Amino acid sequence: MTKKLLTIFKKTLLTLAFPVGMFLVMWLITAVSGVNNFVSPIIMRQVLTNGSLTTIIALAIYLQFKNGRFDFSGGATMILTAIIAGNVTYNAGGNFLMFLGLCVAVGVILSFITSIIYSFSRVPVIICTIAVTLVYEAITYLIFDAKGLNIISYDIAMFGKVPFIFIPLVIAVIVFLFYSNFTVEGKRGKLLSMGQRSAVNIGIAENKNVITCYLVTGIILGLGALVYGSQNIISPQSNLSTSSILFSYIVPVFIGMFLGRASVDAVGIAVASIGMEIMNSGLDCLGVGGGGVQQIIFGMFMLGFYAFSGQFEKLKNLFMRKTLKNTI
Amino acid sequence: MKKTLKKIISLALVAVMACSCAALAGCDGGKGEKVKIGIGLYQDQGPAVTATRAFLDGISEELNCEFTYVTLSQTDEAANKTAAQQLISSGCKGMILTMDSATEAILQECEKAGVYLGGYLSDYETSFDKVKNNPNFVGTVVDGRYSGTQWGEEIAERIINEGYKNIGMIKFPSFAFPHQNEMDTAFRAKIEEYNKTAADADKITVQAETTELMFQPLSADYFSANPDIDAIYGMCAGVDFIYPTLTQNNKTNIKLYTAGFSVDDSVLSNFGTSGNGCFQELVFSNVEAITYPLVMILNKIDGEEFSDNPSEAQRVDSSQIRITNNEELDTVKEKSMYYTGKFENSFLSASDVSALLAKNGGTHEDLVKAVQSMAMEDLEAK
Amino acid sequence: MGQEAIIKKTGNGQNGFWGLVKSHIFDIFSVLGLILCVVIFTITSNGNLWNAYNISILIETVCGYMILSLGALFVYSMGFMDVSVGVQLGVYSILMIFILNSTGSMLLAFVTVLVLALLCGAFNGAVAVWLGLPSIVTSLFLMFVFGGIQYILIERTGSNMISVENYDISKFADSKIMILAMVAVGIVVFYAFNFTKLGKYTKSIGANEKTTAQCGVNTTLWKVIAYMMFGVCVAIAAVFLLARTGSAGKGTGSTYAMDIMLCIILGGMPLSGGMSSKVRCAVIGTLTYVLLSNGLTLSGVDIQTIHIIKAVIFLAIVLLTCRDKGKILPR
Repeated sequence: MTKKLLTIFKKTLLTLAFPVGMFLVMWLITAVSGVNNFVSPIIMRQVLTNGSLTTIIALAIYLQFKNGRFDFSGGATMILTAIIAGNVTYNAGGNFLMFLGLCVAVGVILSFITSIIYSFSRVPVIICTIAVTLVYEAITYLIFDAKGLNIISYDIAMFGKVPFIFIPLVIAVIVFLFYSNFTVEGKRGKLLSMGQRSAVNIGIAENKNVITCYLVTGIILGLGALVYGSQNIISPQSNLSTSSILFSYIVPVFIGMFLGRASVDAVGIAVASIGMEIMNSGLDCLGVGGGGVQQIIFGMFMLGFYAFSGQFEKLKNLFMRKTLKNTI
Repeated sequence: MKKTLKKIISLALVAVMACSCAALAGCDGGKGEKVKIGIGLYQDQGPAVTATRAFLDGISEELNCEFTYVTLSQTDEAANKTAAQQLISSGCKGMILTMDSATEAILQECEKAGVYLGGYLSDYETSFDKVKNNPNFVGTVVDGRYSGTQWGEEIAERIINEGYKNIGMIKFPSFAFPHQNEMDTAFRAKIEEYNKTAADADKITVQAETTELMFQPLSADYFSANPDIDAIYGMCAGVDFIYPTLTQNNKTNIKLYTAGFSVDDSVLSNFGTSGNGCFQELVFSNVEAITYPLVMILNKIDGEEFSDNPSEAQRVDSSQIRITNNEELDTVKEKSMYYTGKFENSFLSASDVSALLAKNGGTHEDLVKAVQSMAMEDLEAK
Repeated sequence: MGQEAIIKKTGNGQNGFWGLVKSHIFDIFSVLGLILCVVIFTITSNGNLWNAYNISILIETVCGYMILSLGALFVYSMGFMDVSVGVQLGVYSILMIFILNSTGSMLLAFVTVLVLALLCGAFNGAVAVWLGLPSIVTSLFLMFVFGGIQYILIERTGSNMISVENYDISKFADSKIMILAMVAVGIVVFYAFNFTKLGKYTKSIGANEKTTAQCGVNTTLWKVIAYMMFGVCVAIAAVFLLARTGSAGKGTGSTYAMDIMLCIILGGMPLSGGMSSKVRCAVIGTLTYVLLSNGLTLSGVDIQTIHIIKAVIFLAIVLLTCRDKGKILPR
């Protein structure tokens, strides 16, 4: 029992090490630079708000990643979902619950369409989802007079703020964990990602699995659209501009995959998102937010972290060997 | 099954191509001798685009013109040159572009093809001095005033009159929007002048160093660094870059005086004394200002010249609509073409524009006066 | 090619011609797509597509895309992707302007950029292997770093953009020179891709990296060479891109990474790489991509409608050209 508790304590500590470490580093840097507004309720709220959105979108990206696919259409699906659901809710005089429901419904429908096109066209997934992205982006010009979406100051946008933002976040995490760990299709998805041909040979219906996985991704993307549309003014998109959304949220996926080894992947992604938002907020406080310097630091950090995680096993073995040697 | 699928896909492709063909064929033809003018806008949607197109549609018959549109890139010079080249290739005799990007290269193309170029709601800051003597460049109409000084002073006067004491200052980087520095300086000078004579309790504190937004929305740390501000002078596009952060952080009690406009109800319902009352000033330029480069280009094509034609291309200010209270907003909603998107609300009728042409006896002075007579008082008098 | 030769090539005596057609069905579709674009736009543009001026524009526009797509073949044939190429182009353009304005030496400007491009290529190819990273990670790293550098460089000029002042760069925008460059790069790439170890091994890595390595091929070395080859093309393309406008800004080149990907896909090449990667994919894809934008504008299609027409045509072409007949869903 004590051992079990100790393991849980150790895992919790390891999981939280990244955001806590990041917070300490940024706090130190800002303090040394004479910036004293880093530790404030406003910054903490910003970290939680942005971190929640990042986690939801990162989970959607990761779910496809985990199933062996790189889905390019995630950003476009989310943007189109937010525009449709937001405008329909606003025009119908609906409330935040209607917005939530519509986001999930539209997200699921669009993801279902993507999965159908992919499954039946048998076009490689990146190419297929790029084509779908172009179509979804083009649709943003054709609906609601190409106005996009601007609902940020209405009550229906309440899921964009703390504490209500935690509702879609918790739903997304639960949906992700439930699908990945407690459903047959989730487990079959793992088999397909590890050995696609073998899994198909033993009788797993790949098309069905893909469609199910996309439906679940649709729910999470719908929740992402709910928060994204509540926080941002959205313009119509074109020429794969939504891919920048995808790339800007992909780093927490990479980091979260590593951090998740200490607990579960969804938690890893959540703490990675929070950690990255702490870094961004710290850089904002230092006055380098949004500029070239922030991009360079972000890139350096991403590569450094990924390189470290890639070599982690080797480093761990080296450390273990040394400790063993010293003990003997 | 596979064969059927292939057939379906093949048929779909043929159908798509055929539909495109039909759609494309419907877009052209039968326009005869109309003068073709290319319009390059940096946006492909939004109220400014809708209103610009409505205005040009409204005057096209009278001027015997047809207009063709392309979207310019805000960042890619090569893409803009390609867009301009395509306009030339499609038979345009003139081009009106909202971006000063690759201007010299585009003008080289214009010279080769005998096409004229004019600017619209852009001060052509980077290239103006280099191209103002180019015979194919007809000048540009600025988005409001070239100098930012006057607006900076006007906002300072409002702030003083309305009694705000802690003012936040936000703008875009100087390298991209140098005239926002003039607004900043003028605003500070006016406040400083007021503070000299004001009682201690009435003195106004202005944010020491203006926050520069790197084309990203304002960060929430702004409020922890500037906790006491009660109003913000947003020299940049505050609707898109400042207001979302105010909303997310429940700071809509801070009053926002900003450049830009939106026809979106979420903005207008929070203007003046309505809604959360966050927006206190919005400013926009009139799409009818496109009359300046258009008339200058048509004169060139007609081989006509104003009697008072300037010796080199001009950078002409245009009047803007400043909305400072609810009544003015109502006037804009009722009478401004920018809001309604209807040509009937235009400041200038087709015959007004036609009368400004050199061949119809117009003068440069009349033309400049026309684009500078579209302020709020002119709108109210309509 | 005679009937016998066809039969010999397809190895199917009974229905040799149809066998050949069947085995090249996706290539035929991509060529047909291009031909259809040409035919449709010739009609809808009232012949403007073929006026001398428009042909010179097409050459000018195609040049940069073509050189980049040809170079990108080496990377995409391995099943990798380089999202940093756009910002690299932007930084190279700005650097060339700095060097040209201070020294007036095009050679120095080009060599500097070439060295940088080769280093980036080596970085993308080698570091990913040494550190055990997916190639997209190093490419993302370069995208962030170069994006930041581009922003800082332009910010320091105090202006939105910077122009070439003391050098006549427009001579590189001459149609003849551009055609010459495209043909030269095309020949080199065609030869390298089809008749050298480089092409063979990159395709082989794309088909199955493990097997390739087990056959004794130093995959790391060939990855580095492939990325460096792309780097050379990026440096050459930067010259022609800069020559078009003589200026560069904070967003120069930003769209090229995605555009090249679209070009290659339109040519019928699977992004997973492998043996079906062909030089003609880059050529046909680039021509189709440029023609689509040019033709739709010349035809006077409404701006907002252009997006959906392009998207549907793209979807239709990939459905016809990129289908996989295998038992499992292609990734």
